[in-house]
Amino acid sequence: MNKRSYTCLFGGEAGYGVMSAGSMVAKGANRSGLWSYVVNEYPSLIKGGLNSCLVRLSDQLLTAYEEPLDFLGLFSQQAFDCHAHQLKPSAIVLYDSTTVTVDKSKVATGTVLYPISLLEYIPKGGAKIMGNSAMLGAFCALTGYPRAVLIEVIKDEFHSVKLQEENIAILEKIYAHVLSTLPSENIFPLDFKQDIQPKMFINGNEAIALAAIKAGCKFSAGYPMTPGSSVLSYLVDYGADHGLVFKQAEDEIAAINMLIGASFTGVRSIGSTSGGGFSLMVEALGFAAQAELPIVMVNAQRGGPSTGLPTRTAQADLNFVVHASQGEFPRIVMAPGDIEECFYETFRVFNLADKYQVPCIILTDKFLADSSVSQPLFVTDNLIIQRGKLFEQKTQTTDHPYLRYQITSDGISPRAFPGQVGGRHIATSYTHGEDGFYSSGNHEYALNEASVTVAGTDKLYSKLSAMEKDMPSINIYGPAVADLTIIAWGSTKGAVLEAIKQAANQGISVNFLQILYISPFPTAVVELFIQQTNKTLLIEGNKTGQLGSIIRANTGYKTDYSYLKYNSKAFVPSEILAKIKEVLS
Amino acid sequence: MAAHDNNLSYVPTWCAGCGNFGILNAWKKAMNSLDLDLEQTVLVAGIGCSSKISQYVNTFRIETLHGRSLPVATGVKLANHNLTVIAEGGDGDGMGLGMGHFVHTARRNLDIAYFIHNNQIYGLTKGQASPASDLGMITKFTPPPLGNMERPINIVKMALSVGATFVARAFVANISQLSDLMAEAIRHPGFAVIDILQPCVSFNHVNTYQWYQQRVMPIEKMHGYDPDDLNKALSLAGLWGEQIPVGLFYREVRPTFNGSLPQLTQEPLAKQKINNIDISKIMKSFC
Repeated sequence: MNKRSYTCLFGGEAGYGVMSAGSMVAKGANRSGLWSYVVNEYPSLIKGGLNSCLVRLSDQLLTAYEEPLDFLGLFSQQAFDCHAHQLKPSAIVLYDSTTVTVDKSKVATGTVLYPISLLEYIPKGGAKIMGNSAMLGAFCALTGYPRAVLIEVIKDEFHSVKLQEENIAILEKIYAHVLSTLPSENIFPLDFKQDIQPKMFINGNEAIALAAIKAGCKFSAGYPMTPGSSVLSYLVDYGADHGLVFKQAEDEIAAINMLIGASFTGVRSIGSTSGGGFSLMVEALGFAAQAELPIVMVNAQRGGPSTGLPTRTAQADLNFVVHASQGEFPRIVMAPGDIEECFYETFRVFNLADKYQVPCIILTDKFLADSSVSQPLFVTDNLIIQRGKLFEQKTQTTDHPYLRYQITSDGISPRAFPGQVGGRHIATSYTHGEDGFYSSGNHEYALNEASVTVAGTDKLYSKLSAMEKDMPSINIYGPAVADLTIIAWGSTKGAVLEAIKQAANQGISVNFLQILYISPFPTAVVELFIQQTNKTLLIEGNKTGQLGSIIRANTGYKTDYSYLKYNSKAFVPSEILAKIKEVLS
Repeated sequence: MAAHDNNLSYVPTWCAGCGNFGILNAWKKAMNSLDLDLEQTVLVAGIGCSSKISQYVNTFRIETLHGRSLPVATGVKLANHNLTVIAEGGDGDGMGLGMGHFVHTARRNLDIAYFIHNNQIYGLTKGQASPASDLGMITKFTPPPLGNMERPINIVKMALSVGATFVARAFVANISQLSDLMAEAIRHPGFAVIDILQPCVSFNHVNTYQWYQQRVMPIEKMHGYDPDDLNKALSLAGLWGEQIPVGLFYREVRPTFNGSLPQLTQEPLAKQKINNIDISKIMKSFC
């Protein structure tokens, strides 16, 4: 069944509130039985430039966006010039007549053009951001989107009654005017109805922050870096009520070391950054591994290398995070594909970090971090905290003193925290013996340095067998056997899911292997699955096919086709469907 | 029952005559005089000869990365503010890689005592100039005729300038003064820095025991010196050469970062229960 969807885009210079216009449209729809997928694009500047907010609405759950527009609302010429090509043949274009000139040769004949001086509707002395209320009033009149729904959203968005009233007045005034110029009232193509099930309007970073709070994370430290740092702002906003402390650090090196300090005391801790900040954290990542002090770090990828594209999406840090830091050590790299995985898998990652005492990386990207979608409330009843092996005083005697790094069959040694009687020990970045004492060149380990070195490394790697069984590393969607198998990771998931559904509707047999936990690489299950595939298509947001190279390194298997996109935009279902048809033709 | 046993059987790998032995002795003496519960104490060290002190004392300890003791100590203190937290490392560790952290930890006035073993040289890497090496010093990386071309960092002046609330200097040969200052620093509610002058017998042949002995000048013997006056402290800190003042330069009680956070007025984060946290209210705020 093809879903019905409606896509609108609000664009203009920063400062006109196009993002909030879009999110209000989405929130109103969410509360009215519809589903939304909202993609924000903004350059790395404070004023000016082009901000855009694309809102896709549907009467069914959405996992992706598409570029063709039913409605385009414009505050600036640049917004028209950059988005006119996305207009569907009979789209509506609403634009501020004082700032935008529409070149009719750039739009199809059936396009409805509606110029109006939006800013004239802002009362004298009012902020220009109120232009978004004018935009929304005209939007309702032109599309039939029920304005009563938006008015309710406005009431929730503004805490000040004065601002509520002013914005509603603008909306009503322009709505009445625009309606009076139309031959008849429009009817919105999707049905609005009372929604019984509440839905959240939430993005990936918010879902990760929420999971961290639920997982009992009490400490976070970080340094601002788009698009990772909004995880930290959400922790500031929502965490304090739950006792969480966030410390803004002088740099990312300090931030990750603070997390390691908190971890030593037994406190669950999380950081969030993007590739550049993660680069600075790399030495300490190895320290966390060597000292077996669990931490959770989010890397929300953006375009690179170096400063790259601060506010655009990419999936090019995979090889980097999988291998980052000197020496060899196991780590967990989890790449959530959607909001649910941002929440549930982040919660799981906190448990895995404690159980296996390894550094954990949550690898997202700007697209997943920043895009807001409708999401039913998370079900939290079954989320159980697991702290792993902890030191108990009764196990320690004079003959058997506590050994922090005791060699065990599963490689995991009980952790003791400061304050625990009998638990004193040294945690160290040096290669060490079971007692934590540096094992090179000193009197105590003079005769067995080599064997202690081997035992210490083997200890870390002996965790792998239990670890691998403990994580849902892959997901398979679609038929068990298909003509074509798509292999992808991270935020690409949503677009692939919609594409394979559309393919199925057209009688094309495609399934999808999502690799959710990329390190440790789930070699056995991937090998098993690959044996049942016919053709395979690798889809990634990078130039070199990084997941493809990891698969090949671990299994020897080379995917048949690749669809690699690195133009700073996320994948969309229609392009993937076209690619599917191309490789199967 | 509080734990005070402060002896481990590990054999230090410091050179015979190394100043670190004296610092270790003073350290243990300070802990004894404070009657500290060593199970509630965390020593956070960097990497270097001086940081090896973490291998030889019997508290909870973290031997971190070179230069990173202070941010790790910050994490420990914020996560469990009931613990006594001591950070320790050398002049290279703290004033080289760690300089940024030093400045910001001082601004924050976290309740941490920070002992800098200052031998004006990189010892463990066998003799390169440190940020505290004197002008003209000949080292592996600063050969003759010029020697070290960069002005040394005066740790006391630095600490005073960036907001440390307890600033002292000690010479390791005077163990009782050093251990008294260490105890005072630990007792001080705020960021307490001690610049500990310590010869490196293997790689610093200029700033020897004798060199320091001839120059150290006890501040306590200066009549009318008031450690509450920041300007006087800064002016005294400028003295480095024929005379090197040792003792307490400055002390001020200012609100600490950890003491000012509402989340830390009750139980430490490390003691909070984390099962069954209810997030339904936050989820509703997204609807």
